[in-house]
Amino acid sequence: MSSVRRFVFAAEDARRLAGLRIALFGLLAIRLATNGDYAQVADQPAALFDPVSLFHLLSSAPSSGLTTVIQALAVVAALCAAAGAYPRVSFPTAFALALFLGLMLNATGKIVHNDVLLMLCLLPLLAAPSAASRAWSLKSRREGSAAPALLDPAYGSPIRLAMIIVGLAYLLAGLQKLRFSGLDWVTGDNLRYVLLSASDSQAAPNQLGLLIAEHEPLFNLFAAGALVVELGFILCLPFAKLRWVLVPAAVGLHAGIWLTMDLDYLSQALTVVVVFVNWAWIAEALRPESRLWPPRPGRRTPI
Amino acid sequence: MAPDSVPRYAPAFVTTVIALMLTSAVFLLEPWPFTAFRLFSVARVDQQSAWSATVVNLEGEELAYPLGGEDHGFRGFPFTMAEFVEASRERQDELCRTWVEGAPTLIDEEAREVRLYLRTWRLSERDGDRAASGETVLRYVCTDLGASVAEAGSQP
Repeated sequence: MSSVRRFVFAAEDARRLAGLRIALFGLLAIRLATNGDYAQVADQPAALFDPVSLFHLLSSAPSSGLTTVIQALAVVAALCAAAGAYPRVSFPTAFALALFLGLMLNATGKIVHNDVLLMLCLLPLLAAPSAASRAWSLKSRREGSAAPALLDPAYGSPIRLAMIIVGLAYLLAGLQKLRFSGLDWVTGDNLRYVLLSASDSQAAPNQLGLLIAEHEPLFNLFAAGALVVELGFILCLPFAKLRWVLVPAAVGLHAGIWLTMDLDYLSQALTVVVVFVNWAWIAEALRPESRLWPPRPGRRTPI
Repeated sequence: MAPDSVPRYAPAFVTTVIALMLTSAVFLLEPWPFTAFRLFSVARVDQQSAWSATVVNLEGEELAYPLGGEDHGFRGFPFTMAEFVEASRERQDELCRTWVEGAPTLIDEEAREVRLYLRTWRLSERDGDRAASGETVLRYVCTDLGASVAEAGSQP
């Protein structure tokens, strides 16, 4: 337990946390601004309204007019949060409005996972609005407190919790496959049928998916690879060097799903990259004069 | 300005987030954005089935009815049908009336009835790059009065 505590409350650079804030809320703003699905499910007939989570408090889907207003406000709030403006207001507002819109998509009978990891990784920022806005923010610029090189556990704990959330998300997804399907998920024809079904549902047959589906060792190997990445990803928390393998592997997994099944998990893939990139290191690489001096303890690698 | 300090509630917050993720997964709860993470967790099998719908308009023509498409909240049709087959008579009637009333919105046609077809097929039986068509059978007929079970063996 103490090793978990040491991991979570390790000191990190304020700029790394700021980078996480900018990238995650920026990604949220883009997702909210470009997703036309909210308008599509607005005005849903009451008989088809199938709420999950907090939407059980509503009796029917929101109107299209209300949805448009909420979507616009959510984008503005997310941009303010990314900029570090009024973080105690903008962070929870952006999250709450994005949650509302996300729950709309989940009220049509299917759990939508595309933005789950992004939303979960925003939670650590919600709990630390001040720390997350210490560097690279309108708030710090306005207050004249732009201290770019602060190392403290206050900046580390939101980053580390986001890492744990990503690691747990992949681990749980992998364990659920073993729980409901066992090793048959890998050794049987499961992935073959998944790829055939996905190809059949696309406008034109997916030749890459069909190629894998038609070669028995190949689809078993890809299934094994997917499961190994999901179950093994959490190892990159204690073993930092594994991030060089597992972060690209997770991105590759989502790229493969997109190429063969036409399922867009770009938001999740970007979230993984954003959480594990050391934004302070990137800043120092781009502007060497911004390096900490004298050097202080802490991780000084790109991821 | 002094650096921020770790808030006193931080350890409890970290524990709560992790506990919520684990609890949702173990008990298959979906308090979104927390989720059970059941992505493709059930192994896909060869035998498949899917529902589709048609509209019979006032002139008696049978037209494709894209329930399950992207529009106006009808996209959950495949999942709603899973509920429909197990639902009470009252709930089936309610859903049927909704689909009948939705026709002018979705395909700009008044519906005399909506027909619900069940297609079954095998993924391994291929016709070129596509699955062979399998068998499609009319299972339910919806009118503005409600649902009725179709006569056995009706084809589209």
